[in-house]
Amino acid sequence: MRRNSMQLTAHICLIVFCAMCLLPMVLTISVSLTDGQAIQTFGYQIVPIHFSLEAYEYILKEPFTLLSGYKNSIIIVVVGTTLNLLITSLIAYPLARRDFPFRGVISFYIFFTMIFSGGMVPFYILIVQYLGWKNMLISLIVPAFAAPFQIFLLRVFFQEIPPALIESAKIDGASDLRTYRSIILPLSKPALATLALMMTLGYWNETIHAILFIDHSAKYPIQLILKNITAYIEMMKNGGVDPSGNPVDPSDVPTDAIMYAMMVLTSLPVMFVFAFLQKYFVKGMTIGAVKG
Amino acid sequence: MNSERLRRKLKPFKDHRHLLMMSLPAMIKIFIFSYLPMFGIIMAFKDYVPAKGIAGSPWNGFRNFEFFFKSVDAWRILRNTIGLNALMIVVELLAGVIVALLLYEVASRRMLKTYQSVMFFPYFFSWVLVGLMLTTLLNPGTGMLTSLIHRMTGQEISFYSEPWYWIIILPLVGIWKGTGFSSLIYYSALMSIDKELFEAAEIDGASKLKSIRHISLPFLAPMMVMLTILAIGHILRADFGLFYFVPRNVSLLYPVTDVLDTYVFRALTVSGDFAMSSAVGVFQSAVGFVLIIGTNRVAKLFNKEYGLF
Repeated sequence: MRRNSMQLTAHICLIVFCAMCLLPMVLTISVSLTDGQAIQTFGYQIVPIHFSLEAYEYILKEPFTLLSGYKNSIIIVVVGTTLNLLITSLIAYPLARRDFPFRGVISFYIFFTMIFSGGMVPFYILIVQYLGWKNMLISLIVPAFAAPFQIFLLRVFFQEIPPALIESAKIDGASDLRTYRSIILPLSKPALATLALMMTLGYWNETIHAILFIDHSAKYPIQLILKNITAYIEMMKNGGVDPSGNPVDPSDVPTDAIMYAMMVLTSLPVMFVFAFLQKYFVKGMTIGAVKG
Repeated sequence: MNSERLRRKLKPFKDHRHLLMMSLPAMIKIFIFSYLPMFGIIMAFKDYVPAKGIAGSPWNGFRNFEFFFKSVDAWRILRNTIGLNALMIVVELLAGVIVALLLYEVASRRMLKTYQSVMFFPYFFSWVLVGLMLTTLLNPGTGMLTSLIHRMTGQEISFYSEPWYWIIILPLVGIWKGTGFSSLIYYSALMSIDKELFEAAEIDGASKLKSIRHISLPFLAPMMVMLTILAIGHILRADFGLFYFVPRNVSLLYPVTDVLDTYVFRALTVSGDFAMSSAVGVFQSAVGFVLIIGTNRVAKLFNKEYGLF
């Protein structure tokens, strides 16, 4: 009896919490599909009161900014994830080899950067003044390479491969590079997939460096498009002026729906991809959390 | 003789040249992007003039630090950073453990997977998106929460101009985004408890709550202690996205939402005060370093296994 009531309580609590997790997203979608007038009268509702696709038509009439954001972010994700995966796995393998005499020194070299850093200001000056990467997508790609946490995570995976396999390859005359390419990488596909997913998420959601380093709107990644266009819409809505200070024609003032439609268009398709691939994520994260 | 000794010294390098070569790209990247900026720390002790570069700018001792610590901002920012982070360490720990315990009660495998997937969903959102989505609840007039409060009490609360509400909102958003993940860690720990312990407790007539208190919690305790201690080591590093994008960088909210990271970031992007913000950055790095070393020691005192290094 008591056991059942405990289970019931657990289900109720979890259902409420899950509903809370979904509520802001459901509201966002719903508002984006509501007629502008109805929003003013009824506020934001879970189900659209006056269904309308107006906001999407408005945005998709001139989709160029949106598309350029997608283009830049896809370039960053594809180039970044590929190269990062290569560099990270290249160093994770030697560190996983117990017979590699320099693994202690190199591990410490990597680890030290996890506990001490020069801070954001010297990093900013390095990128902008010394490397001259202002307004270049490379400034959003390279700094994420060889993240210590990801190197150590991959090392844990590599260590699970039986050393006997590597030994026998050695006896057959395979070089270290050959072993890495023909034994380690093929055996670690699930781990590499997990890592690739983590890197993709990181690149896709990265905003801070983009604000610091990218000023040209043609180079904006998707998060910056989202941030700036919504700010622009709010400014027109609340202030009645466009960013150059010219008054906006009252009939042209964008509605809340447009702002939320923008959020849906920039984010949701990708979010569903991530949700779909979630199980790879979860597996890698739990291993990483246990032994970082 | 001498060349013989040299050769012996170089032998490990020669034997493992492939492995060393493989490590090189990552090591070079880390050198340029993590070690070189460490030399930039001297900026904090200089009166930085961009045209002269870091090396050419004149020294000014501790004046940048003095300037920050004597400013009205210093107390506010340190209070917000430490206070809010401490609060969030506690509530996020509680949320993670409670949700994990609740998940452990769920018998149906399908329901369990559904709950976990749904709770994990917010984890994938960017902070920009989270900040914008929150307006569906908090927007003045139209937001779901503001209009609910208005209907119930007749009060119009303007969340984006009243800083004090954010002491509650920020930790709640943190829980909302992070619990899917943190509960997973505790849940996988619970899974490794021997089921017979619970059966034995039940036969002895222990209530469910009693077995949670005497079996589950003691089992989770080491992990809770370890993660908390490690979090304290990072207390000066706030989750930048949460503090910058969720309150939407509204200046009216700075009395509560401005923390060290957002302060340095704004100095870089808005005011361009490099000298003082690098001093703040050095303070953050140095104190953070001491805290991490210290908390790691403390963790090891509890149990040799707890420490990270």
